[in-house]
Amino acid sequence: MHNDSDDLIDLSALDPLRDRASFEACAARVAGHAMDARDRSRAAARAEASGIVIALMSLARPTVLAAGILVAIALSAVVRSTTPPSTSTVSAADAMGLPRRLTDILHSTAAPSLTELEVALAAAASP
Amino acid sequence: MSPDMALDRGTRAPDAALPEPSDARLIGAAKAGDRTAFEQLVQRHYRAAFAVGLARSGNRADAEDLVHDAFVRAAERLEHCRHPEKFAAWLCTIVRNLAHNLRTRGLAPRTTIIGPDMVASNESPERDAQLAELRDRLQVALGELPVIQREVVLLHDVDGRTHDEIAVIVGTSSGMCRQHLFKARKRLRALLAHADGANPLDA
Repeated sequence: MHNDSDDLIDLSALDPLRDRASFEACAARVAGHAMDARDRSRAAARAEASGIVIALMSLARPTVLAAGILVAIALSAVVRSTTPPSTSTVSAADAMGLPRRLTDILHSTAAPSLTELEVALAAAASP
Repeated sequence: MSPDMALDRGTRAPDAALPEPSDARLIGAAKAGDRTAFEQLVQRHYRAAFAVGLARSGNRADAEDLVHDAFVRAAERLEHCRHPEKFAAWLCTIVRNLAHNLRTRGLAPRTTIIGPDMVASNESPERDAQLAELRDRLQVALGELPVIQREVVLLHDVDGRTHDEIAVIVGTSSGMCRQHLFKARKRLRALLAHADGANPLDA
C-alpha cells in the first residue's frame, strides 16, 4: 500500500492560512459576522415567541368564556340524558281531572246503576 | 502543507501547556454568547470548510464566500449541532449544501468581502503574482478530479486532517479515503506535469 507522504504535492499555495496575520483578521471578522447573525436570529425568535404569547393572552378571556358556556351546555345535556325516566304513569283521565269513580265506571264492563252514576257525577261536579 | 503553516487544532498540540478546549466546550460557550469561543471554532475549522468549499466551487472567491456563509449559518443554528464532537463534519455539510444551492439555483457568487486574500499580503508583488499563477494552475488541475477526490486531497494535504477525520467529514471509510488520496495525487501529478512539461510543485 502506498504511503501518505509518497507522491506529496505541495498545495500550500491554496492554503487560506498562508498568511497567518491576514487569516486571523479574517477569522475574527467571520466570527463577528456569525455571532451578530446569531444575536439577530435569537432576538427575532424571542420577538416572535412573545408575539405569540400576547396574541394568546388577548384571546384568553373570550375564549375561556366561550369554553365555559360550551361546557355548561354540554354538562346539562349529559345530566339530562343520564337522569332515569320516571316509573309512574299518569292516565289521560287523571290528566284531564276526571274523578276516579267515574273512570272506574268507564273501565268497568258491568253496567253501572243509576245511584253509582249519580255519585260519580256529583263527585265530578264538586270542585 | 508546509510545517510552519500547520494550524493547531487543540487535539494536535501535545506540547501545549494547557489543552485546547474541545469543540463541544467551545460550542457550549458560543451558545452562551461567547464570541471568542466561536472565533476559536472559526480558526480551528476554517481550513476544512475552505477545502470543501474550494472542492465544490472550484475557485477561492466562491470558497471564501461559502465558508463565511457556512459559519454564519452554523452560528445561527448551533442548537442544531447534535454531535459537537463532529462539528467539522457538520460545518462541511453546511458548506456542501450552500455550494449545492449556489450551483442549482444559479445564484451569482458575491464579491468576497472578508477572505484572507482580500487583506493586504505581506509578500512582494512579484511573489504575489507567482502565487496567483500557481493557484490558478492548481485550481485548473483540481477541477479535473472528481469532487470526492478534490475534497480528500485538499482536506489531507492543505488542512492536514487524518484519514479517520476525513472519513467522518466526507462520509466514507478511512480505507476509501486513502484510495481517493492516492488517485487524486496521481492524477494531479500527471495533469500538472502535462501542463508544465516538468512539475515544479513536487515537494
